[in-house]
Amino acid sequence: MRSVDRLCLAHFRVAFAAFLVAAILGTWQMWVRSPLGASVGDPDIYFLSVTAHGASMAYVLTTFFIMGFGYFVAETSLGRALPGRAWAWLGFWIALIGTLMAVATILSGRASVLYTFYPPMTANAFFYIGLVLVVVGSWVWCVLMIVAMTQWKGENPGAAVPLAMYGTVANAILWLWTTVGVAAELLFQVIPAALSWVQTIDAGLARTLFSWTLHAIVYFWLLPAYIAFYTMVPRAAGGRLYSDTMGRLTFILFLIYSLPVGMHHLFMDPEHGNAFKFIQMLLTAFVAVPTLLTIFTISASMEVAGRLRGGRGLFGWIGALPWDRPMVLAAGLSFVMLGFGGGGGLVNMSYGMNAMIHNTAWVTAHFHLIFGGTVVIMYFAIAYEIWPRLIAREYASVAPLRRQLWLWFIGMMVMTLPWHWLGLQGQWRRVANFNYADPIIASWGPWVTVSFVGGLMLLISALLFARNLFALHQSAIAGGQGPFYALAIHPPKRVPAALNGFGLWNVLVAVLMLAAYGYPIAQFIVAPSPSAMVHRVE
Amino acid sequence: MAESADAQERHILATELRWSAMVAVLVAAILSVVVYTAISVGINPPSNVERIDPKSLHLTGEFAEHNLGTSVAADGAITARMVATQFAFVPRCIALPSGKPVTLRFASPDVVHGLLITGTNVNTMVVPGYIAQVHTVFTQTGDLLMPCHEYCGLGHSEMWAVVQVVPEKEFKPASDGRASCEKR
Amino acid sequence: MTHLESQIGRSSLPQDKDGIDEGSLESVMREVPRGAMALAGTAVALLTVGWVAIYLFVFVPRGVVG
Repeated sequence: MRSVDRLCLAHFRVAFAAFLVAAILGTWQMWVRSPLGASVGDPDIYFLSVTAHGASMAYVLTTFFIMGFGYFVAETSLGRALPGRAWAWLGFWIALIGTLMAVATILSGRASVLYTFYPPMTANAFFYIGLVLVVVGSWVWCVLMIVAMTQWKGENPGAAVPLAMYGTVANAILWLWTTVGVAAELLFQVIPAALSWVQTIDAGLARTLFSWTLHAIVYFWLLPAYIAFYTMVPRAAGGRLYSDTMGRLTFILFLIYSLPVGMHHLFMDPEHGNAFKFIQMLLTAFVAVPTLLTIFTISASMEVAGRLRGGRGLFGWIGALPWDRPMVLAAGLSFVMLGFGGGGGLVNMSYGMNAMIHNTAWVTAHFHLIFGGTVVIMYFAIAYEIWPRLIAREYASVAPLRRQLWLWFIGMMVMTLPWHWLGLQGQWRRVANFNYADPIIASWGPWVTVSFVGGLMLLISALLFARNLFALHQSAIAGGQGPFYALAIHPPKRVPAALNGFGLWNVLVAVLMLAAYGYPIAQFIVAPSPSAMVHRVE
Repeated sequence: MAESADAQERHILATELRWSAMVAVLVAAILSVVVYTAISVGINPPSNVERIDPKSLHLTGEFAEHNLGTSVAADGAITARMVATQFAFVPRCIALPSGKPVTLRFASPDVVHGLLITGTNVNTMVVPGYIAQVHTVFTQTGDLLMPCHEYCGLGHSEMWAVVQVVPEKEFKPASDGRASCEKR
Repeated sequence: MTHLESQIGRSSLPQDKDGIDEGSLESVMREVPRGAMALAGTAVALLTVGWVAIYLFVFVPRGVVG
């Protein structure tokens, strides 16, 4: 048993419990929006549900899963006990208490402002305070990840930090930078408004600060999936990582380019002009690069595995891969969803083209596919891989795991592809009931029903995921040993300091953030815009 | 052995470099299309930055109620003005011609709203404190739906307006320059 | 070595010894990354075509925006 086993289990349990509840809510929402449930949705309950669904999936599933995975990687990849385990537990409890606080305010109907908050709409203060506590708990994790790597480097001077830990610390540093935006928005603007210390709020500044967090947070969610691509999938497939160096470069590129791009969520906003929207659009093009690099490096790593298993020809190695292994299957399905989701992202970032789809169902489709699909399917795979090691049991069979993964993939495609189409037709977001009597809206009805069917498949898949883990706990087979990190074709003996640490990259982040967000934020402070009246929703 | 391992590592990095070059070409191609259309055809996200006090905009000035809707200026410039508020657009219907440049201007006295016009590229957020302005040329005619697409409270689902886009020849403003919707 | 470190142990780190024969790896590496270039290249080419198609046939016909 590792010292972190109970810690990891605690985090994963909270993460997936929130996930299950959110999945049920999401399915209900899809029914209410569709022609089948058109007479049912009461806006009070609908928007309460949307807030709960969004906050659970975006803030609880993700943060707790990433923390648990990080603790596991810190101990297993470095081969040493996690430092500061008592602090880790403290962080867990702070985050859990914050979660419960936020959930209570949402369920009592006092916080229907959705997970993106929409100041000047203002919820009960404890909603925001709860989420701040979740972030504070995660900051403890960030510090411990950095400390673990630093201590290991001290004990192993000149050695290359294992790639899984390097990626994890990159993510921890990214998260520290990311949360500054939303923390500033909540602490200096929204919570004072919620506590009635101020009666007006600068909506332009609030949206800008939130945009700082809003894009980088999706890379915080994404990086663990990429850590699995680089350090777990090649081994699961029976191959090796094509290039350890590219892995490091990928994590560095994400750290640098995830942050100064948030304004692409504000392309349609009137508080910023073309200049900075354009600059941040350029930087967004750069953040597409590490993903494009990854699809090549991981394909090459899979090719090594496939050819070692006898695959021949230009594409024959694909069929030769061990698709019966959940980690391999998940990676393949994830890459298919990455193609569609990433393609949608290219449309979203293309400046004027954003006007075609902003705030339509296309956007909803995009992030469900790229996050709910590409990323979360890897969360499942990572959980399936790690859980046996945490409880020293083995699956009786992995066929149910594969079925659950396939159902998630098919459900996600069936749910999101029609949504893309509907978005292009002009279907807009966050609607409790569509007026299916209107001829334009009526023509959308069949597709909304199709995507609801996809949602049902996802719900079943979510329940199967839980069932598979319960079955593992009941399993009579002892196990959960054995190596799982991939070797690289060229194991890094010595890497340049720039690829073994983050000092230089932190400086670059600061420079880029100053260039991209300096004026856009300063303008509100130097010349405040007319404030909006705080609008309480509780 | 060490030599061939180094050679192989260099080969690996060379292939990665080749792939990176292809990636760079793709990204550059997309960016050039975006930049070209932005500069030559003027395709941009709506980005006119203009402030207005949400607390008083309904009382006087550009967004006073009598000034809302479509009006044609002396020089022929066509402008439609609407207020987005919880939970209606004022006015609920505007008329505009196809095939001619039009400007739409919006303001909110309360919370953040947003809007799109179905089948067009008209799309903007309406943030209290700012005037949102969109230029476009309608390429189709008909009664188009203009929903509020940003969550603005419990009545958000019922917040929408209609845009009657009429062929250029049928767009006939009154003598005061105002055009309003046909009753249908 | 602490008790915990001896439990984890240098010889049983999760990343050790993947059982791949170095000779087989060398022969396979003569082909790689042709297949990856083909797969990733095809995927990216399709993405590009898709983006251009949406730009030309959906976005532009809807009118300028600025």
